Order: sequence, then C-alpha cells, then structure tokens
Amino acid sequence: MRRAFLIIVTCSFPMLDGWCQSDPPTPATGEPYVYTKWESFTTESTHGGLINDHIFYLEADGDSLWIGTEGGLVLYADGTWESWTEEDGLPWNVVMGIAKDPKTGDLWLALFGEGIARFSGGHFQHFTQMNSGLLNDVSYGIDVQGDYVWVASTAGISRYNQVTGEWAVFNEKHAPMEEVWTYNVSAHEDKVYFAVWGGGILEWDVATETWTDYVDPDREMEIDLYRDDGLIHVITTSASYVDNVLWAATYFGLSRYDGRDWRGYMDHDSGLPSNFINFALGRSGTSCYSATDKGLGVLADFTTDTWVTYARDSEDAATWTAHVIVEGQEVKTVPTDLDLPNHFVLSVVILGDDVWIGTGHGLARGIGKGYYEGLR
Amino acid sequence: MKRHVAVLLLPIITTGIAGWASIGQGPGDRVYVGERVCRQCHHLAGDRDQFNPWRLSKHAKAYAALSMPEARQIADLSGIDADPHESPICLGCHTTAYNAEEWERDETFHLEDGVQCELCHGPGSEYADAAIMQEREKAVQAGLKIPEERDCLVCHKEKGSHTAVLEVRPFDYEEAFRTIAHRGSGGPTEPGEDTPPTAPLPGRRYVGALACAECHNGAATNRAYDKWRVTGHAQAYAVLGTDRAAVIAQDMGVSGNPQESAQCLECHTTGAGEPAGRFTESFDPVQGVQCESCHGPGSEYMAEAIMLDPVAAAQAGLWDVDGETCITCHTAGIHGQAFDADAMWSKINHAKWEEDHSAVEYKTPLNLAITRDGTRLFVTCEASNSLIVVDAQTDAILVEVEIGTQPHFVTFSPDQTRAYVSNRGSDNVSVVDTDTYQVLSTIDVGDEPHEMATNADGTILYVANAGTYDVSVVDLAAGKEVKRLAASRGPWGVARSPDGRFVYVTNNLPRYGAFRAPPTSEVTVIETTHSTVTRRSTVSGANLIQGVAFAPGGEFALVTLIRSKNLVPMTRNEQGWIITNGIGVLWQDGRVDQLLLDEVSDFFADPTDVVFSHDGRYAFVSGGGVQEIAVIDVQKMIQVLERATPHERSEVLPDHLSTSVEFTLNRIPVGRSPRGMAVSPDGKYLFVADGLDDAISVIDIAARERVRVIDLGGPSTITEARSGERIFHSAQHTYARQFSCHSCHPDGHIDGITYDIEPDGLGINPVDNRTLRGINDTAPFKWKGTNPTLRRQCGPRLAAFFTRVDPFTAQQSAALDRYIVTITRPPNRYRNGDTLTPAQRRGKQLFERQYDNSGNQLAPTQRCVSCHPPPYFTNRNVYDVGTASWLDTNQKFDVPHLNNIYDSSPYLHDGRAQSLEEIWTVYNPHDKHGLTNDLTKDELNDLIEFLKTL
Repeated sequence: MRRAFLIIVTCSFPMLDGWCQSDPPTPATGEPYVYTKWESFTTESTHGGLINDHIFYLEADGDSLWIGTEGGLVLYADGTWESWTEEDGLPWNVVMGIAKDPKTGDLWLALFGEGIARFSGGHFQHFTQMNSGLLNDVSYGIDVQGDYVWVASTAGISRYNQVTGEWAVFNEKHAPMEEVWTYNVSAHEDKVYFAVWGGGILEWDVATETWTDYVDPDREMEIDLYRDDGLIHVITTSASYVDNVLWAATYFGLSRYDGRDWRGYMDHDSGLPSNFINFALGRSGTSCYSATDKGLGVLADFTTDTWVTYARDSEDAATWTAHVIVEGQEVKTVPTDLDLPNHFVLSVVILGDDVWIGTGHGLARGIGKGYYEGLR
Repeated sequence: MKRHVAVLLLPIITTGIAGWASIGQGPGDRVYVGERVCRQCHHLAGDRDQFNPWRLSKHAKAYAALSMPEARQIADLSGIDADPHESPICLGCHTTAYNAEEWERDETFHLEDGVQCELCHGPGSEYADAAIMQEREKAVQAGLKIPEERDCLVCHKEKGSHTAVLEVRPFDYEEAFRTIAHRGSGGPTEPGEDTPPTAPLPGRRYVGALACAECHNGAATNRAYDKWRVTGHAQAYAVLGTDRAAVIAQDMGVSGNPQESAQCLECHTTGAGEPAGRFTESFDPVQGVQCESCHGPGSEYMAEAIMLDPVAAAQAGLWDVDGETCITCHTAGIHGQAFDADAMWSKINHAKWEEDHSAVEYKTPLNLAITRDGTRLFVTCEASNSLIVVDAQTDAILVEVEIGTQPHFVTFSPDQTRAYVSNRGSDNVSVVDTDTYQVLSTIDVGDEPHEMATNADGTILYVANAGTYDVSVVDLAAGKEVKRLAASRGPWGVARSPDGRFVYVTNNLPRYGAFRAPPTSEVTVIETTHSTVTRRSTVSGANLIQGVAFAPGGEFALVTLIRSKNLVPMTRNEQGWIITNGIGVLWQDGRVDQLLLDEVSDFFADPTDVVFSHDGRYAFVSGGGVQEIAVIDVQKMIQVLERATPHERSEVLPDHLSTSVEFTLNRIPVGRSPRGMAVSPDGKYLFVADGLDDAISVIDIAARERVRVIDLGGPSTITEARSGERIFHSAQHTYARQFSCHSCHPDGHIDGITYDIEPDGLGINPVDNRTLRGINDTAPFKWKGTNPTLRRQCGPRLAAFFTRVDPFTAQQSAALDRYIVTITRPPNRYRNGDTLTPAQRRGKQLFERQYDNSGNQLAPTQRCVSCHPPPYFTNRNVYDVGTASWLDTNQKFDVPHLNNIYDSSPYLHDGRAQSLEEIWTVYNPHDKHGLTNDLTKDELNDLIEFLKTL
C-alpha cells in the first residue's frame, strides 16, 4: 500500500520529480547477459578448503580471489584454496573487508572487533584502537587510496598514512557526519566514498581534501517521499564509484548519481529482489550488482532499465532462477544451475568476465563465457 | 623621556589590549605579547617597576648569549649540530615561546628579548588587561602562572653541558629569586594619557635596534645585535633605575627619577631630546644606547640595497664611527670612571666572536664500493659528510666530494655511470656522476637511509630507511621515490639476488613482541618485478641483523646478527654469555639457519657486514667490536649444517660456541671499527672500511692477511671524544670480547630490547633500552634515576654490570662520556617549523591543559606539561605513575625526555608499551600517568600527534 501511495504521490507532483518529467526509457533493443552457469563452493564441497561458509567480503587480485569469512582469510587461486586463521597469525578470524594496495601489493584487512591488519610477505601486522590511532576496533570496511589506508568503523573513519605513520580520524567533529557508524569505504584515484549508517554517503575529494555529504533530501526514514531527489535513504551500506558514477546501496533501495542527476531504485519498480542491500558494486556507469537479502539484483543496462535478478524462487527450490526485468516488468525467466542454499548475498566482485558472490552460506562463481555489456 | 615612552608605545598597546580582550577564552587562544606590553603597567614609578630589574638580569640577555662561543661548545656537548639559535633545546631556556606557532606570538613579541615575563608567567594576551590583572584569581584563570621553584628548575637544574664550559655555581633558588626579584606588587594603574598619534617628521628618523637586528643578527652579519645586547649599552636605560644611578644622579645635581631626566637620558638612550615625530613605530627608547646613537638615525639608510653601497649609505645618513663618537658621552672621569677607549672598543666590537677553530674533523668511513675495472674505490665518510674516491692501485685520494649529512652507503648503477650515496642525516640519496664526481641531484627518501641496491636493469633503487622502518622504491629515471614498502624495524642492509629477482633487506631491530620474550627479527624479501614484499623471513632469537650478501650462485644469503640473552640478568656473563655473535643463512625456500662466529673464550663482537669472494669459496664478516675480519669457508659451513639434525639446526647450532672453529679459517686483524667491505673485481683483495681509523684496510685474500692500509686523510690528532668513540665501538673491555657499547646502542641509538640487567633475581626489574641521542642534560640516568651523571652511568656501573674484567680507567670513562654527549638527535620529522597541523595544535592544547573534559581543574601532577616541561620535556625527577609491574621492586621511575620520542619505541621503563598509544590505552587505567581517561580516542590521537613533534 505504501508503495502504491508513493507512486501516486511522486507522480502527482511532477514539478518536484525529475523522474516523472523525463522521457520514458528507451525500449529494450536486446537481451542482457544472464549468468546461467555457476560453480558453488561451500566448506563441505571444498572439503574445508573454504574454511567458513559465511562470506563477508570478496576482493579480486589479478586472477585470484581473496575471501573474507567469519572464520578467517581465504585465497582462491588456480583452483586451490589457501587459508589463514588465528592459528596462522591472523589477528582475528572475522574478516569484514579486504583491500589490495596496488602500489605495495600488501593486503589490508578489516577485522570485526579487532581493528585492522596488514598482510605482507606472509606476516600479519595488527593495528587496534589500543596500539594505534585507529578510532575503533569494530572495522567494517577498508580500502587504499595512494599512500592512505582508509578504515570504516563504528566510531567513524580512520586514515593511516603508510609513509609518515600518521593517523587522521574523521567523525562528527571533523567531517559532516550526522552519524559516525560507517559501514563501507570505496577508494578511487580522485574520490573516496563512505557509506555511513544513518549518515548517507560521504565523499572525500582527494585533491582538495574536502568532504561532501549526500543525504536523503526528504529526510524521511520510512518512505522515499520524492523519488530521484537525491540519495534514496541515509541508511547506507556501501558505495561504488565507476565511470564517474556513484552507486549507493541502502537498506531501502539503490541510488545512482552521475554528478548531476540522481536515480533511485526500489524493489517494486526495478529488478531489485529486495530493498535491503548489503553491498553494491558498479560494473560500469550503466551496470550495477546489488547483493541483497533475497538474491542478487543486476542492473544490466541503465538506459533501458533492464535488470537480471538471481534468486531462489521458493525456499525449497533446488537452484536459483534469473529473471529478466525491463522497466519493472518481468519479460523472461532463465533457469541457472546456481545451487547455493542461501540467497542472503553479502558481497560481490567481478573477476574478468566472471561474477563471484558471497552469501551467508557459501560462495559461487558465475561463469561469464561470452559475456557482453549492456544488451545484445 | 617618559613622555616618549608613552607616546611611542601607546598606539601599539591600546590597540593590542583591546584586541586581546576580544580573543577567545580557551588556552588555545592565548598569545605571547612580549615584555613591551607587560612594561606598560610594570615600568612605572614607585612600586611598580618590574621592568628595570628584568632588563638588567641575565634573563634579558639569554637569547643574545646563544651567539657567544661558549654556546657552540655547550651545543657540541649536548649532541646539537644546529646553530644554538635554531635549536629547540637551546631556545627552550634562552628565550620565550620558542615552541609556539607564529600566530601565538604577537607583533609586540620578540624572541630577541630572551627570557621575558611570559616564560614564567605564561602567554599574556588574556590576562594582560589591567582590570583582569587586578584580580589575581581572574588573572590565573586567564592564564597567569605564578612560578614556583620547580618551574625555575626546568632550566636551572644542573646541566652537564653547561658546567663543563661555564663556571656555573649550583642553583640556589632563594638566592636566584632574590636576584631576579621584581620590586613592587602592583596595584591600581593610572589612566594613560590619551595622546594622539604623532605625525612623522620629514627626514631621517630613528628606527630602533630591533629594526637593525632584522639584518644584523645573522651569522653573516656577525650577530651584531646579540653582541650589542650583552653590552652595557643595551642596559643603559634600565641602569638608570638602580639605586646607584639615583646616587650618581643626585651627585650630578639631578633631581627626581633619572629615567625621566633629560640630562641622564642624553647618554643613556638614543635620540634623547628629539621630537616624537623623529621616531618610527619600531623605535623603543628603553632599549638604551642603540645602534643609531653611534650610526645615526637609520630610516633612510636601513634598506639593504643602500647598506650594501657604502657611499649611498653615507649619503643616507650612516655615520662613520670613531673614538670621537664615544667620547661624546664617555668623557674622562664620568661617574668616577676612567675611559679606556681600546678596552671599550674591544667590548663593543661587532666583529665576529672569536671562534674555536681547533675542531677536528674526522672521516669515519662506513662503507665502500669498487668500480668494475677495479681502479677506484668510492668511500662514504660519515663524519666529514663526504664521499672520498681513492685510486685503488696507488691508494691516492682522487677527490673528496661534499655530499649530504652523514653519508652511509654507496652503490653504483649497473652501468657504473652513477654512484648513489645514502645520507643518513639528511634523509636523501645523492646521485653522483662517477666521471666528474659532481652531485647531479638528491632524491628524498625515508628517515635515516642506510644501505641500497638497484634492480638488475638499474631503473629502480631500493633504499632501507632505518628511521621510518620502510624501504623506499625510487624510480631512477624520474629521480623520485614512487612508493614505500613496509619493512620490519630499523631496515639496514640491502642485497640483490644474483638472478635479480629478489632484494633482501635486513632489519636492525627486532619485531615488536610479547613482554619478556626473546627478540625475533626479520629479513624482508622484495620481488623486483613489481617491487612488492613477498616474504618476511623470521630469524628467531636474533637482533641487529645488519649485513647481507648473496652467495654468488644465489642458493642462499648470509646475514650478520647478534643474539642478545635479554631474559637473564646480564651479570650472569661470568657464567656464560650475554650476547653471542654470528650469521644467519637464508635459503631460497625460506628456511633460516643460524651459526655463531664466537669461540668459547674469544667472541666475535658486532658482526657488521658480510661479502663473498667471487668464487663463493669464502665469506668475509667484519667484526666491528673485535677489529677483525672472519674468513668463513663456505663449504665447511654448509657441511656443519647438513650433518646436523633438524633439531640441532634449530635449537643447538644457533647458540653453539664450539662450531665456528669448524668453518672459520681465521680472523684477520684490521683497524678500529671495521664496517663495510668490498672485494676487488679480480678477486684478489678485500677492502675494509676501518671506521674509526679513517682508513681502508687492504687484505690479500689468498694470503688472508692485511697487506696495506689506505689513509683517507683524517687528522692525526685523537680527541677525547674520538677516543671515547673508539671505546664505545670496541669490545676489548668486555668479558671474552662479547660485546661493545654499540652492541646494545647501535650507532648510539636503541636496540629495541628490554633487558634484565641487575643481579636481583631472574626476570626482576626488566628495563627498556634507551637511546643515547642528545641525552647529556637529561640526568638523572637509569630508569630508577639513581645515576646523576653520564660518567657514573658509563663508568663504575658499566664495570659492575657489563665489562666485568677490564673496567675503564678514569681517563677512558671521561672519554666515553665525552663521546656519548656528541651523539646527535636527528631533526624531528613531524615538526614543520613553527607551524603545527590542526591535529598537532589540538594535541598541544591537551598537553598543556589545566582542565579535564568535564571542566574540573587538573592537579599539577595530572597535567602532561608538569612532569614533561620543555625543552627536554622532562623535569628530571622520578615518580610513581602506576607503571610498575609484578616484576618491579621499585615504584618510581625516571621521567623520560620526549624529544624525538617517536623513534625510540617500545615505551615505559620496561618496554611494555609497543606504541605511544598503549601508554594510555593500556597502561594508565587509574590516571596516575596524567589524567587521560577522559579523553576520546580522537583526542588521544591529537595528543600523540603533538608528542611526535617534540
């Protein structure tokens, strides 16, 4: 009922809503790529190679994949599994975030409740709120920009300068943060984005060292009063920046911002399987993968509003099904062989043409043979 | 004359006070206003004259005193290389607000005024208002400090550097207080005259001594201002305020205050009798007889361009000065004194102070490299800041090139057209043309760069930065560092594998480890394709891993190391050993073996560098402490390892004192403190840098003996400090030559280890090893603070606990003491001049805060700055700050100095705190080490950012 109301309301006030004013989407001229062939990995199926099924984060490293789990750090390379737990020197088993430093080759880990760690040359160096300038040990996300390591934590943002050893912190005193609980950081050459739970998206401009905050202009917590007026909701979980386009995941839908216009997506008007998005990854400025509590929602082509949604159609379904949705209308269903028992998707990463997803119960690779962008 | 004072100062003061009153109320807003402002109320007739006594005191001349030759001597004894005027340590007690940012000093404030009111009473902007000052409580709340004896002692506690140079009597607080006593206690002030600004008169005007000082207080101008400031001329006005002046004035028929008498002022100040319009705003009459009394009003000639042209300067009013000028006032018999023109002239002479030119400059060669054709040796000389190039055949010095500060290592580009020299003291690498010997460029790298190596094609240079614990990756084509790779701690040696795929970096300090654990160190392995760290080889039980070299076949690398037995009392050396010395064998697959070079009764102290003969048969290790080169038969060494069981290799051989005889062919005596080595291209000779002989030993490899010595041209005189330096680096005085001072204090710094030193039980009273950099005036020594002098620390105590068999003579002890005080502290890398970052600025406020986050006033013992006052940031006492552990028999510990505190982790007396943060996040649960538990994490971060700047 609320959704219907929203549509009525937003389109009843065209002066306030760019979406309703804009031209209708260009009709689809082709079909999106659908991942039908999948490989699934669980602790059981890998005979312990994947040491834990709770997959929190995936990080591509060339042809290899780093996997952050509830039970340790895993590397999948050349078909083999290698893992590190506390017994191997990993300071804490719960790995929430992973970032590969492109300059040094070191791996940085966000550890849930135990700060962060640098994994370099097979050795872990541990940074905590007790032994370093890290704001807080409950680390959700980590990324590297230049010489800086950025950390998202419950108490705000910490930044470590690898050259000088200096720590800088950003919370309500030093940044435009209405809330400090930061879920995710995504670093890029010129911008660093933070998803602040209740605080929207924070943008750090590398050149000017200034902050810009993006919040929901309607400031409504329960509804998106004016669609496309800005960020869809301030309870954000991740940000992704590609081709100068910002993708923002929230618990109330997905937002896209191209620097001028915002576009919001919710499950009732798009191919999102759920508004509850744990993580979003932009594959390009026109394509984004949303890891939700009810499957994977892929905006395959922004221009035509074409989506491919991967989810179990029922609790007892043996495999996931792909639904092709254009402008909110399902146009096709495609069976897949993805058989993970849980479609609570927590992470996603692209490795070449393949897509990898991490769920609450296992890991899967969608084999992108013949992958193409957009529609064909 | 009083009228002049009022007229000239009023515009500044009235404007200033109005402004200060409106500035914010927090401590961070307080600004130093200078004695000029204090003087407005504290230089009045009657009971309110605090200015004159101060101006006549040594405090007012303290800054100028830094120009005197004795200041340089004291600086040398304090490990201070910098000009005393630029040293925070010297300035901390010789001027006011030295560590303030520029904005914290008002325009009316001048460093040249030395120790002025606000050093003791705090920055005055918030309490300078007369209405506030009339109520003590308000004034205190606004920042007025009432100094106590402990505040005076911050600077006046005995300093070894000063007592060695000056005739310093022990500080007597009562007497000192009487000496500087400010007569009068204040009271209501009279309303000032509302004098309108005076229009400047045309023509030449007086600008005042401080305006002259802008050019005439540098080294190039002989610090003429300082020379004037310590003379009677600079006190000529203030002296009129003395009782004796009153008597003289009376004798001369002057009635009233001499400082208001035109007759007195005529010769006791400059420009007396001139109308107000004849003075610029910068002129201050109370400065006494200033430059312009003799040289004429300076407004027209003061411009530098004019002053550099004598004719133009004369035309603009610069007077010639001769004896006639002086006798204008210094008439014969004036005030009952005869005028000795020569003596007077000598006293006020502006020429450069006579300096001690007897300073001896040594070379101290540390490392060397030989050209591929074997014709030239390039030698880095740390003490002379130079690169010496020697003809390897004739031993002649071809050239000595001035390089950066403390050059450490030299290596060539693969094509040998360039030599790269790391400069440990200036944190950069000099690029030298090997044909012209010109320094082509310098490349900034991390702190304290040590060894280096290029990749195989010479495009990348890897530099081990011992100070920042990382490796600079330098793009040589671009001439700049492109990234830093994290090493372990104190990266030192660098070697490239023969196949070019890897670079090994040794680490001088052990990793941070568990409390009371033996040291574990690391060799950092970098792959050269992408310049990333691929392995961190662990070397258990070892530290001071310095030298590294690959076997020519690349199947393994050797590193030098020592093994410190830090968990048992060091006094137990009589039952065995304290430190053993050896090598590590790093195999390609990551395995690490360790072997000792020691023999049961003759150790091999301080293995420093290692090189291989070209055929790989021999490895040579320089023993810095024993002045020998150990010749290792490589095959025999491998046999020793291969015949051992895995258990023996990991548990027995690393500590086995009888193994070295099986693979050490002999030890070749060389000069003092042998360091880096190089083998000639023909494989016949080994060249060894004899660091403290200023020489290169040349060893015939086949004969295994030293065949000649190349003199690098150092002085023949051996100073006491040099003698001490040799003792410091020699193991001759320790039992079985196990170790030297350098073994625990490599190059005067730390080894990062906590030791059990005293014979008070196993594991009792462990102590963190402290740096020797710049410590002379931070007595007492020892963590318990029981040693009042360095000499006692390094003399009888050393004999009792360390040397055991051959205690130093008094002369040796003095020499050692003399050397240690010369060990310098590197420039602070976190301090950017007078400017602090916002975080550092916030941290400074926390460091100096008097109120907690709830607004409660802190007791003095709860404030950082109480126990850690500048300039050394120690009050040199012992306190119980709640850090004693179950292993300590003592509760009170020495307050450590905080200068460059960032480079001497771990912290606390027993090294339990691995970082500055842990001092408070872990080891201050009851707020005994300052009240800190009210701080938020970001506030603690700010505090630490400030601490790093000290």
